[in-house]
Formats: sequence, structure tokens, C-alpha cells
Amino acid sequence: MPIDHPDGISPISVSRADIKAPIDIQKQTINVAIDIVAQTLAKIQINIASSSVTLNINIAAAAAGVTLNVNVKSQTANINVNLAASGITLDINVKSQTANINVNLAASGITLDINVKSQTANINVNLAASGITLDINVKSQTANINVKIAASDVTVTVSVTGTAQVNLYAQTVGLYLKPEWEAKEGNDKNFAGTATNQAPGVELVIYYTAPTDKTLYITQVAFAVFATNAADADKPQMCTSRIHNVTGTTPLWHQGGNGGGGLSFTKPLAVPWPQQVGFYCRNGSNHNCSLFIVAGGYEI
Amino acid sequence: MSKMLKGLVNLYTGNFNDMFHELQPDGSVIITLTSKKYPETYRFRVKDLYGENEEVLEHEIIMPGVNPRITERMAQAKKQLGGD
Repeated sequence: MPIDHPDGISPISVSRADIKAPIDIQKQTINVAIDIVAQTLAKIQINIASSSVTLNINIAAAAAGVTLNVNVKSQTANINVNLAASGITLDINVKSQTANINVNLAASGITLDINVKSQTANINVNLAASGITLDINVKSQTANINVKIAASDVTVTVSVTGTAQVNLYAQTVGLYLKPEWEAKEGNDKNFAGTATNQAPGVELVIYYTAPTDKTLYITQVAFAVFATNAADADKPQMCTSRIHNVTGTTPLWHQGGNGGGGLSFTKPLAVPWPQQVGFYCRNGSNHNCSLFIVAGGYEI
Repeated sequence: MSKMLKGLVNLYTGNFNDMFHELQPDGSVIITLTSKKYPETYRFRVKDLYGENEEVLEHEIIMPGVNPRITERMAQAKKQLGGD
């Protein structure tokens, strides 16, 4: 039934237990305020096609398990979303010339999809929640995206089709490769072994097994031998070294040399629990030698 | 099964950053473990490491010590720097 109140104010109050309320408004300028206090709020869908839109959505803690679809086609779109509820699915689709989107989440179990096709997009996402899946797809001429995450376990995946350029203008910037980072965090592992006065053919070995559910990543190794007796010091000190996955009987690395050798691996050698790794250094000369091996990496 | 000594516990749980393995003439090995997460050093001699008859023959925990001579010289240097 069409409503046409003389002063333009058209309050609607519904207090039935179960309602369906499709509202279709076609006016030049409108202000709509909707307050919903419902026991079960299954789905809210908002479609707006307008020249300028400001949309504020606040969902409080009591409203759990809500699916919210927001589709906006507008020249300028300002969308503010504040969620403090659990089990929310939120889809925001914006096609506009300028889109300003602020999303504040203080909740658990949120699935958030934001799709923006805009000439200019400003997107701020603040998360203080547990269990969040966040997909942001932006096709825009200009995009400013701020993501701040303070969480104990975070996976951030950035996929770029095209050219990705990272410019750092901060005066103090520290970039760590994985081994460096793990060393900084105290997860580095270093192994050193020695055996003195070993006969020809004897092999020094260090065994190690990473603790439960962890993996040892080996990033470098070096080995050396030298003659036990001074009379043999000028002779070739032939030796070989290897890293072996003992459990899988898989050779991971092998090298020989005169007096020693070593290598830093461009790709770490991974030995996961419960597999045992062996670091070997063998006296390949024809006289007694002292054997040394050092290997390093990190364990996570 | 007897209770494991702390050095062996650290070895089997990977609770170390640095491991030094010294093979001894009798076939035993001296293992030295240090870590960024605890100050002490664990040094123990074990025979048949990882084997059925594994046995710790010696075990010591070395607390970190500060060389008094270096401490004295550092204090002297700091004092001199402040006076210049």
C-alpha cells in the first residue's frame, strides 16, 4: 500500500513475530532510518542506485548469524560498517566513481567480501576479532587501502596481476629473509661436530630429529679436515661430506674436496618430524685426520 | 624408565639453538647445548646416543659467568669516556 504523508515523514512500525517487508522508494532525496530489534535476523539485502550515497550499518552483539548484502551503484558512495556480532557474512559490492569504505570489526567468525569497481577507492579495514576471512578485490584507477592487523596468527596473501612495486620511504626499515627472521626470533639451529685423529675412511656424523610437528630447514653447511700428524700436513686432505635424510634414506646434499668445502643453499633442505637427518664428514685421505662439520638453519 | 637429565630432555625436545657434538675415542659423544631462550649451557657425555643402550655418563649445567677482568675494564672505559 503506498504511503504519502503530507509532511513527508512516514513511520513504519511492525511488531509481528515474522515479517517480510519489501520497501521500494523512488524519490529525489530520501533519508531512511531503520532500527531492527529482532530475535532472528536471517538476511538483510540493500540495493542502492543513486547519485550519492551515505550508508551506515551498525550490527550489535545481539545480532548473531546475519547475512548482509550491500550493493551500491552510485557516483559517490560512503559506506561505514561497524560489526560487533558473531557469525556475520558481509558482502559489499560497489560500482561508483568514488568509494569511501570504512569497516570496523570487533567480532568472531566474520566472512567479509568487498568488491569495488571505482575510479577512486579509499578502504579502511580495522579488525579486532577472531576467525576472520577477508577478501578484498579492487578494480580502481586510484586505490588507498589501509590494513592493520593485530593478531596472534595471521596469513596475508597478496595476489597481483601485473607489476607489483613496493616503495619504502620510511627512514628505518628492516626487511628480513626467512632464515634471518627466524634467527631473530630465536628459532635458528646450529650444529657443529668434531672428531680428532680419525683413520682413513672413518666418517663423523651428527644425527638430529626435529621435535613433534616441527621441520628443520637447513640453509648452510661447511666441512673441513686436516692431518693429525705434522708429517702429513702437506699432503692432500681429501674428504667428502653429505647431508642425508636417514629415515627416508634420501641423500639431500653431497660434496667432496681437498681440505674441506661448504655451501649456502638457495633453497633450504627441509627435514620434517619425525624424520632423522644426518650431517656427515668423511676422511677420504690416506692418513689420520681430524674431521669437522658445521650446519645451520632454522626450525619451525 | 629412569628420569631423563635436563640436557638430554633439551636435546630430544629441540630446546636449543646451538649443538656441539664431540666424538670421543671410546665412541661416546660430548654434547653441548646452548640457547637464546635460557642462559645456562648443558654439557653431557653420552654413550650409544639415540640407541637402545643410551646412557648419560657425565652431565653438567654451566651457568654464565662474567669475566671480572673484562667487567673491571669496561667500567674503567665507561668512566673515562664520561670524563673526557
